Amino acid sequence: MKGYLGEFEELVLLTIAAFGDEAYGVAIKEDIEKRTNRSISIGALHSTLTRLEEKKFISSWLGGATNERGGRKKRFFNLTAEGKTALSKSKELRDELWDLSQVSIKTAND
Amino acid sequence: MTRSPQPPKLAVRFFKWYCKDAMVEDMLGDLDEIFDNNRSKMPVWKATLKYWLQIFDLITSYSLRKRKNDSSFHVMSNTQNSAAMFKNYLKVALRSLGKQKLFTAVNILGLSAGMSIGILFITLISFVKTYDNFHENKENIYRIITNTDDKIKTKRLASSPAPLARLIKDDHSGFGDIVQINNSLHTEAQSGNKQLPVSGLFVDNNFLDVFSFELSAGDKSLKDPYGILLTQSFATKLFSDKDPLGEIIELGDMGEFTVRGILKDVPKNSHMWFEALVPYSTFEKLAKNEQIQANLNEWKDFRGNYTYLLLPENKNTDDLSSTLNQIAADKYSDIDLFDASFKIQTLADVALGSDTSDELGTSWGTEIYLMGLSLTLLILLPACFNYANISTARALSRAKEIGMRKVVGGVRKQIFLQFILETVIISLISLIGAYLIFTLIRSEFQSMLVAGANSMDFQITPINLFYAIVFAIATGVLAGLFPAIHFAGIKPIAALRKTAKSQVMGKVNMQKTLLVIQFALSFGFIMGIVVFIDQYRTAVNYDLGFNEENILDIKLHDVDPEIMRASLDKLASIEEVSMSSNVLGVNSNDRIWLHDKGDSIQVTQMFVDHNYIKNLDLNLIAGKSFEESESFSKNEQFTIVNEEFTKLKGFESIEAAIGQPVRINDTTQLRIAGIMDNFHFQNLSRKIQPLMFRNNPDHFTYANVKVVSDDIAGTIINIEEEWKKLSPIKFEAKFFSDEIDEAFDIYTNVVKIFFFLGFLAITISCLGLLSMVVFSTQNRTKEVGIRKVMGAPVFNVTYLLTKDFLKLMMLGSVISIPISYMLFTLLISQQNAYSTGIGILPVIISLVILLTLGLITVISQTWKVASSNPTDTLRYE
Repeated sequence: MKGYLGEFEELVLLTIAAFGDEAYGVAIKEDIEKRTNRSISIGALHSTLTRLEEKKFISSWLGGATNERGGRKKRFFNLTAEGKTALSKSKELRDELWDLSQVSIKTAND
Repeated sequence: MTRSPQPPKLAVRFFKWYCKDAMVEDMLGDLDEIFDNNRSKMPVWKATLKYWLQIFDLITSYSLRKRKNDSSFHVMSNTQNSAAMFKNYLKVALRSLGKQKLFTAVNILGLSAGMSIGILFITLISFVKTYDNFHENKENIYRIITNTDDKIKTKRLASSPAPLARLIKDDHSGFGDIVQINNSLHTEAQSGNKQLPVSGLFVDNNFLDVFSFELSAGDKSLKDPYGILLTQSFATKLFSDKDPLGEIIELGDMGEFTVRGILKDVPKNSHMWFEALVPYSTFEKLAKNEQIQANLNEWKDFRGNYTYLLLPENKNTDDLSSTLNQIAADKYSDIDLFDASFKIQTLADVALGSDTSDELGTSWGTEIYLMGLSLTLLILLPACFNYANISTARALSRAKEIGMRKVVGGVRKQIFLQFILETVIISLISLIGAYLIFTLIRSEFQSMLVAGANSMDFQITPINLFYAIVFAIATGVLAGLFPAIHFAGIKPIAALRKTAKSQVMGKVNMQKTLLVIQFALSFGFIMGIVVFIDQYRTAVNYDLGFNEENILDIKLHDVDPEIMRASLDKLASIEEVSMSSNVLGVNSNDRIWLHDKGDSIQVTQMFVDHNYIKNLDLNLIAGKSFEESESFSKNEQFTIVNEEFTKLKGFESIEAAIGQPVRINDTTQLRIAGIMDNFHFQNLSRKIQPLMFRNNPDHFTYANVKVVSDDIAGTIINIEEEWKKLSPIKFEAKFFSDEIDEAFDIYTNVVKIFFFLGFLAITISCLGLLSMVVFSTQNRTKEVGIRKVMGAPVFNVTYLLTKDFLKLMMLGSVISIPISYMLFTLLISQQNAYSTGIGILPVIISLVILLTLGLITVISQTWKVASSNPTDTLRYE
């Protein structure tokens, strides 16, 4: 698999997946902010989106003109097949590690 | 509907400006939305602030950089196939060079001239860099140098006191091999009836183990105290075809030596140079017997004595430094008003950038880099300016091409590259021309830079060639920078609509500025030439305070002065004969230290006979000259000193100084017999120093003959005949006045260099000016035609076309005058301590020369255009 998936990248990818065809900049930003309770800078988000697109994990297209936001177009993002593979690979790895570490986490919680 | 607060307009505009053509609509949309959301949560000012911060956040983000980068390539520009574009650039460049033959020629000529100087210094510096690299032990050889401070002046000497090496050898072990060298082996070498001057070194026995000078025959051990090693070329000069090994050579007063070995000639890149080597132990013996003047136990005598060390492999130099510091503290801390310290120097530092005086051979200060760089720039800059001027002036002819390129997808960067490439092509062609010029001026420059032309070797080696090519490319980039930026910025619509101005002589613009700088530089060069010629003339005609006319200096060689005098007195055409050890004003630089009750002064000494003062018309202001009877006794009693001497010694009055004792050394004490007026016995760069005349006939080396005959040539032949009866050695005589003139050769060399460089700079500037005039008048041919039809006389039209250039010339001169004036005043005052300054005349002469040259160049073109027939010019299209 090409490219290493960072924590923030994974977060963004999953969020895009959750939005289906309606994922665009501000929506992604606000959703992540709400869920993780942390503030995300717009520059960091766009950089990550650009990088993910370079890695071919997501694709983007411009939407039509809008009435709100000064009539400016939105750029929508969508997961590609490669993006999906990357996400599931990442999940597999985590599951595997979870299985292995369950015993010790449980004992720690007791 | 109420207007809701909008995001800050300035921020939006700034962002759009920054992003240029990049697609950022979605980003701005996002920002808008966030702003809208924020507005409901916080005051407007805070939302605005956040908006600004987000703008900067985006500007610095990777995503925007990428979008900008993507957008800078036009959809149609094919970045994959750069080789094809490259080929196209090359083809277009060569075509346009071929089309504009005059401008191409001017550019190539100018750049060649400028770059030839650059190549010269590349080869010079790379030659200097190879100094001493042939020694096998070069990594571990060090030299001990001395810094002295006598409270008036600090000096950095390459030499060190004679007892130092012995002290290190005896008291401190572990510093490897120590080599002592003394350079006072300057004498006549005689074999059979052939005699030649020889200069060599006294060296320790291990000299040839430490330094890798190759032996070609014989034995290199230097064990025989009266053995001598000669270099191949000196041996051939002295012995011709004979096998020199085992031959006997008589070295002046030092006795007979047997040739024990022949060395290959000293490489040109060696910092020390010699024709003969004699063991150091012999030097010590000779000094003890007073066959040679040397003080081997004197810690305050540094001159001519050198200490080198070959440290053991991996030995740290710190030990040596601390030992040397300790020795210096031991020896010098008790002496009042004098201090000295020792430093170690690696062999690599010896020849380059050591800035020491009293060197053993050639050495280069760091100023060589500075000089090379500034001279190259001074010549190269006008050439680069020419290129920039001419090509921006030609913008019109290229504007369409550039417009077309941009329309079909060429971006700024590509146009920029295209023009840089074009200049680099020109500069590479110029490199060939530069090489040709370089081969022409190489030998001339070698002899101008150092006295012995054979001590240098400028070669084009592969590495030099590489540097030269790098240099040419750099020159190309430099010269092409302005035009390339200019062309890259052309607007395609304007260019295709033909509204792009050709920009010849607009208001204040780059071309004008560059022309002014060129004129200023040219003025500086012209003034340099004028000033140095002027200084040379005054220096040669300067009243040195003695009479040098009609005096013939004859070298005595081995002839006894008394016998010489007797035979010269027989000749009727000779009025007076005197004897001296040196030629006054030429090589009178035998300086000694006089120690007197803790007070030491440095004095120049000369040995002369009783006739000398009268013969040279020196002015005796008190006391009397030497008696004839004293002149030829070996028992010195008296001395004659100059006024400066009495001042420095602190005598109350001139009369009071008469009869006062002057202690020379432990065995010699003289009394002052007479006092002379001050006169210039050294070149004019120095103030008059204290001088003393002594009269020991052992030191006489010249007979000064005053000739009173009209038939000078006949007299010289007569003298030569007399000489042949006395000695087998070749007759050597020179007129005193000629020798004085030669001593001012420094000026002729400076003038030569200045003349050559000035010639280059001015030619380049004139060529540039010529092409600018050609261009600007070409563009005005129609205007001139109409003016003439309306009745303007040729003169007025010429004036109209000329006056712009005239103004620039004047401006350049006005800027240059104060700078050049100060610079040359500074230079002159270093050359001549008695200079009266530059004066106004050279400034006026330089101005006239510059204006004449410039006007000839300009008017030659403007006159042609102004006198052309208007019917032809108006039918031009």
